[in-house]
Parts: sequence; structure tokens; C-alpha cells
Amino acid sequence: MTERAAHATAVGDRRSAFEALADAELDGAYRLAGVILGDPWQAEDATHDAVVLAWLRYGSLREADRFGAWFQRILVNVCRDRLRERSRRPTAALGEIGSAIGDELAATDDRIVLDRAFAELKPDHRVALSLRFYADLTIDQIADLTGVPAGTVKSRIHVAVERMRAALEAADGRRP
Amino acid sequence: MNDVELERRLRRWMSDREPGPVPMQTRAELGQVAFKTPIPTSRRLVDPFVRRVSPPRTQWAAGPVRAMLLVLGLLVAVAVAALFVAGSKPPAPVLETDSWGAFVVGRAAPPAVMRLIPPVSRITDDDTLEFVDLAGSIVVLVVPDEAAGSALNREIEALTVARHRTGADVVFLVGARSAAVTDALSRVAAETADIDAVDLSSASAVAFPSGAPALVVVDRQGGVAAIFAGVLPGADQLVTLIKHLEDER
Repeated sequence: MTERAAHATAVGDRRSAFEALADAELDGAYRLAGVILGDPWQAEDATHDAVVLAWLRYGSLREADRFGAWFQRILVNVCRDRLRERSRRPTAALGEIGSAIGDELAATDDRIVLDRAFAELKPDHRVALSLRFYADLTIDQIADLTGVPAGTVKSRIHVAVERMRAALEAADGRRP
Repeated sequence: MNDVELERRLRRWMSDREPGPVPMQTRAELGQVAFKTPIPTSRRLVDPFVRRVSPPRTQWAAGPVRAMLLVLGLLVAVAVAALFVAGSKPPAPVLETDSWGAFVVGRAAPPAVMRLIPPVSRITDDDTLEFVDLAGSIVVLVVPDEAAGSALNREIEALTVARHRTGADVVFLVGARSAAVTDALSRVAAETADIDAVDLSSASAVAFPSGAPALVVVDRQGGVAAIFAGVLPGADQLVTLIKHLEDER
């Protein structure tokens, strides 16, 4: 807990304590949301939603020291809901947009190849992959955060990694 | 490509993908959330109680009296709720069995990866389907006996009737444990609106017991609500069960 949050908690100023605790998590949350959602504006909205939800539920948080993990769980749920909502909408997927850009260009850049493959993963697979390779969480930590068994997390990461591998290998094969 | 190389490229891509620190304007706005967003009265009343009764994780071992009080309170609440429910709803149908393979009543549905058999009535991200993808819907999965063609027709008929008598947010799946019935189920999916066929044999990480037919009902939260094995319910019993789950929403 930051010094400012600790002081505000000590004097019973809940709003200031929350503001200080949330402020310390904002950059990490925004970056993680950016990785999961692949869009800075969506990441801003998701971070905003997570902060509002966290404030509404702040009264149920028992240990201020656990604010970081608690807030991250809320953020991940918000991101996953956004991905699910997005996948239900009949709009062009990023993968299709990537196709429009052209296979030749995609084959030259890992970022385009992986963005496209990532956009075609299921929301839960995207979340698991981001938490494993960006947030560097263990399987058990991801299971705790997402509320599913460790076996399910392993299975999701395995499927996601193999799809990313297939996309990269296909692109590598097209490179001169 | 080996695993180390793949992981290196994934990590580099993710670090390129992240957008950097929160823009200053957004940070300033988010700093005001706690000062501008009122907490609903119900939360203000309930949250302190929840926090007081339920000790922090680190103090669970030191709070047996609290834990016992909590359990006692829950039992009383369940008993009172049961009295209300018993007076207003028909009793839940008798369940045929408690478990079938990895499916256990009362537990989360296993992470089975099912491959959709064309034609497919629903839009999905890809050609596979998991129970977690259907969270929010009640899912009825029927796995027919491969060896009994006539029984298959009877089961599909019951399913079709149930389909017409339940809401659009109930998902009906017919699963093939072996390639022997894949073609038959594909025809079923083609002829029966809003019933999808899934291949349980090719992509699943979960074993499905062979032999007798089975029917599994998964509730909106992804928990296994009912399992029938050997003798499957008729349309009326299935509809009653689904309505019961819908009422619990």
C-alpha cells in the first residue's frame, strides 16, 4: 500500500484511500487492458469501468493490501466481457481486416501476424495468453484470477499458443 | 520453431502491443470517480456486514467461531428459502444419476472442447465450442447410443419438442462420440432448426463414457444441473427441468 493510501485509510478517509490505491494500479491496468483488447481507446474504457466497479464494491474489500489483485480480477472480467460482447457483434473481425491488408505485408511483420491470430482466438484464450506472457502470472495465479480450474487455464493457454505458433510458422514459410 | 523462440516472439509482440502509461487526462478523470460516484444504499448497508462476518483470508484459521456462525446463518437462510420455494414451485424432477464421466451434478461442466459439425445455426469465433462459451445460457447436451438407430430418432424427437417449448437462450446440442453417427447427426442439424451437432471424439480433452445414451443439462452459471444416463427423459420431463432452471434465474 502506498504511503498516501495508508494515511488516508488511517484517518478514515475512504474516498482518498481508494483514489490512492486505484491510482497506483492505473498504469498496469491500462497496459494489460491494451494487450488484451488491442485498442488503446477500448483499454481506456475498460480501465474506467473497472475503477467504477471497484469503487462500488470497495466496501466489501477486507484487506487493503490485496487491492492490487482484487482490482486486477475486476479489470480482467471487464475486458473478457468486452471481448465477448465484441465477438457477438456482426462486425468484421480484426483477422478479416488483416486479410484485407494483404498476406504479403503480414508475412513480413510478426506484429501483424500475431495481432491477426490473436483476434481469432476465443476471449478466454486471449485473456489467459495475456496473463501468462504479458502479466507473467503462473497457471495457479491465472486460475485464481479468472475463477476457473488450473486444468482449464492450461488447456486454454495450450490451444492459444499452438494457434499463435501455427500463424507464425505459416508466415515464416512465406518469407523470402 | 522451438518453445523458447516462440515465447520470445510472443513476449516481444505483447510488449509492443501494450499502450504505455494512462493518458494524463484519463488519470485525472479516474481520480474523481470515488468523489463523484455515489454508493447505493444497499451496498453501504451490506458491505460492512459482509466484511465483519467473513474474516480476511489470513485470519481464517483464527476465526472458527465466526466461521461456525457463518455456516449456521447460511443453513438458516437455505432452510427459509426452501420453505418459500416449496410453497410456490413444483418439486424438481428426480435426477437419474449424479455423475457421468467427467460430468458431476453440482460441479462446473468439464472443459470439453467440442467441434461443431456443419451446418451450424449459431455464430461462433471458430469451429469449436466449450461450455464456458455458452455461459448465460442453459445447455442441453444429448449423447445418443451409437448402436441404436431407432433410439436416436426417439431422443431427437424429444429434443425437437423441447426446443419448441423453451426459450431461444436454451442451447440444444447432440454429440457424436464416434464417427459412426457424425453423418446422422449432421443430417439432424440440417433438418432441425436450432439444434446443433458436435463431434466429441476429435477435439475433446474430456473423455465421454461409451455405450449407453446420456443427457446432461448445464445451467446458466456453467454448473452441471442434471444428468440422465441409460434412460433419457421425455420431452415433458425435459421441459419441466428447463423451466425449473429458468425459474431459478
